[in-house]
Amino acid sequence: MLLVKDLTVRFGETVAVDDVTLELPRGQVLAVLGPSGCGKSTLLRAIAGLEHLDDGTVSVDGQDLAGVPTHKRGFALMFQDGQLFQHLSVGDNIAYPLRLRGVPAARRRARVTELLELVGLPGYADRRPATLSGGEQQRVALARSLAAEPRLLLLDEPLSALDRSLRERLAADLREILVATGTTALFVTHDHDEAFTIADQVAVMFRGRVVQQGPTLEVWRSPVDEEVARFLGYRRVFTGDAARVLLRAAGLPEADRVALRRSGVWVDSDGPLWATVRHTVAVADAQRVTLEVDGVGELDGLANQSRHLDPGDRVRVMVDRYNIVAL
Amino acid sequence: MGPAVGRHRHRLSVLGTRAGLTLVALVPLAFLAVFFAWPVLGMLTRGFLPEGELDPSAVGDVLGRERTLRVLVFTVVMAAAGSALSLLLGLPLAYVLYRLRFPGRGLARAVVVMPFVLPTVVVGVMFRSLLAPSGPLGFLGLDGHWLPILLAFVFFNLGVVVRTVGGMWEGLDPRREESAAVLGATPWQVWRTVTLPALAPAIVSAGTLVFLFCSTAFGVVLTLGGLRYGTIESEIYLLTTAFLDLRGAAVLSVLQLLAVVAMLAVASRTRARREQALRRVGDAARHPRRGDIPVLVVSGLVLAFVLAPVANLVWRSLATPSGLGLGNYRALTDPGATPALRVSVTEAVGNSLRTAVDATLLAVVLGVCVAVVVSRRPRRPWARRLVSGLDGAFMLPLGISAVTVGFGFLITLDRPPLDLRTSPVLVPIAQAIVALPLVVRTLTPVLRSVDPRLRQAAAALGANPLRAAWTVEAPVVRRPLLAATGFAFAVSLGEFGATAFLARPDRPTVPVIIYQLVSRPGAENLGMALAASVVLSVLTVTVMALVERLRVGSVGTF
Repeated sequence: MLLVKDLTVRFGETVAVDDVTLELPRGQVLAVLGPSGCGKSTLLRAIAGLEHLDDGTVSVDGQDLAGVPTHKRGFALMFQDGQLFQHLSVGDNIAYPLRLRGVPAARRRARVTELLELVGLPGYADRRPATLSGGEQQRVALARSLAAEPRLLLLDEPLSALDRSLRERLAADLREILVATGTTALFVTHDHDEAFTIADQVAVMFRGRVVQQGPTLEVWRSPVDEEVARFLGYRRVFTGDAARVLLRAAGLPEADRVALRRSGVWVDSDGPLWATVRHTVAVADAQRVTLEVDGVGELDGLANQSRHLDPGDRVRVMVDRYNIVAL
Repeated sequence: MGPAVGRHRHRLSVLGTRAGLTLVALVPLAFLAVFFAWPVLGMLTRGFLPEGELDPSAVGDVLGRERTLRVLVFTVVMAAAGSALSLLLGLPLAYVLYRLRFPGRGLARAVVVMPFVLPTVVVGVMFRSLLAPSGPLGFLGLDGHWLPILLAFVFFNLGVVVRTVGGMWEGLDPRREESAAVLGATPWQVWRTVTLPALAPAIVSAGTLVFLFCSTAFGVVLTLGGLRYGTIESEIYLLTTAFLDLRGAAVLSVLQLLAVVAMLAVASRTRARREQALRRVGDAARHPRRGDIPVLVVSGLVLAFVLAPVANLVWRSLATPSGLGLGNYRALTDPGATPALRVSVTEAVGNSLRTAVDATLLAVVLGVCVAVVVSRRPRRPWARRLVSGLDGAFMLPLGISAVTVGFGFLITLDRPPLDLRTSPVLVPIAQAIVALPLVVRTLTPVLRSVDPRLRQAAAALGANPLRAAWTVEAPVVRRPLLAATGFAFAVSLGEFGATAFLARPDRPTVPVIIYQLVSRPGAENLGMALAASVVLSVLTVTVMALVERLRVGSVGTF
């Protein structure tokens, strides 16, 4: 298992990674989630041995990696744009780490076939990287990373360069492949959906520090503060009376401060609260509405498409207890 | 207005653009035909058809000579060794200057490029004064040896390697190498399996180019090799001027032309691959680490190798019979300082500057025309072939012996309809021919990099073709154009091969004067040659430093 302890990386005056401690059990996937510039990529590079540590330790299975050069760590690293070797065929790219380890050609070929099968690109061995689409390149990069069965797979925003639908599909596949191969993986991303699809554990990082860490669902359900909540997609935060009204409507114990997702508020004829519709936008599977909720204020919510809503309509509103959180 | 009329108008405007481009192509083509093709053909005809009849035995006769064979072997071996050594020393330097960040990097980059723009004659003088029996390295006994020629080749071409390879290296994404390292590749394996293959196009193209420059080197070989060692180019000069053997010269010229065309083909193939492959990232340079120490040491030594001849030149130019002083420089202003010269060196500087200005103007105007045409990417295959053919044609002066051009001028432009024998335009025209490929090579990649959709967007907004070019291309090209101008100026200042033939005795340029001074015995002649070399170097280096400040990535990229 991977253990990162008190890790600090400085670039001159700025502290990119500030006293970070992480634990990742064998076979699990940890997502480091944070906005761009929060130091998550630097953390990843430091673990890989590509950045100099100013303080702290990185160890795997009890072995301190200080002084172990990158190429002897037994890891793999996958970047957002794949970084395939353009002068090698797809098969040779995947076989690259095996070749480095002196694996005989016949075994290499067999392994390449097996891995291409695994990532859903059978028969691609002789293609050139330049002829592949972005999603295919990422699949090849994944196969290359898995080829030598790394002790730890590091992924730097692996899906960010892809378009939305492809990203969702590849995220699901990635999760499946990582679980199937029992790979221990740490990946950094700014996209919370990606993190929650792929990871068992999530660490939220702001300004070089890890502010919350835990099992994915737990972090999703109970962000520690407003900043984390907003980053995880909670769009509105209310305090005082408004907070109490909302919590009571959701049937939850009272608190002074709540955060809500859009999907926490539904237009529903049985709902306990009244609201005035301010604005609506139709999307494929629902209506997105902006509501002026009595006793609370402006809120974002959803309505099903049974009835078309217009600005000015009075509607009843319910609060979904799984998408509202007391802070 | 009916649709038929609209289509008709559209066709007219397309025809108009095409006619305009054809016109733009015709001007430089005509220039090239009159001042390059004709003289060269004239020279060749004179060689091959001495009595107005083809004399095929000449080829075998000339090639069968023992001396010809020796010159050929010497040219090829020296050029190969020169390119290999330049690459060997240039690669670590390219890494240090383009992948590492440290104070003084800009200065170091300028130092490495400087020799390339130094006049060849000056480089010859530098190495001679370093290795002559009286020089600081005289004890090595290398005066008149072939080794100084090789070292001068490396000195001269290191900058080509560093710039070409470094420019590409700078744009390589370091994360590709990091991926390999994390997958278990040692630094050496990363270099061999990832970096080297990625740099291969740049290395091949730099190697070809250096080979080309080495095998057509003239001034350096003439000043360092004397009669003993000669390359094809210096042999052509000797055959025409000393032995009046036009036949031999013509055979060698053709031979050289064939070799050059072959190499240019290789260079242009790798260039196409490189333009394709280049996906630039931002400045990936990092601070040096402990592992960089060996390569830093090597680079330091290479830089010292570049600086030593320069420092020695300056130092020795200050040495006079009566101790250190400016005596040699004072002599430059005196027309009667030495019987070797008819005019004072300061007067020659004036000549040089005037000719260089004229040559630059010519080269830039023609170069812009060529670049505009050559950077088009027509859709029809025949048109594309035509464009790439034109591209190649304008590169030819790079490879044709400047001596051939110079001598060709003398024997073809000496009678009506064009009698320019006594005209002062002859030298600038010859220099413009030499500088033209450099201008084209600087501008073309820039123009090619302009997304044609920008021009289409401008047209859609109502700009006519000229206006669209002005809006879209002019701002992009301004700095490269300035850089190309400076480059052309520097090259014209130092041009020796053609000028040696064409400069009239009463209006010599500085390189010609330097050669006259070093080929005469006498300490005061050598002292003046050294001083004049310093003056000429300062001039060219200043121009190039200004160019370098423009930070155009591709000055003279081939």
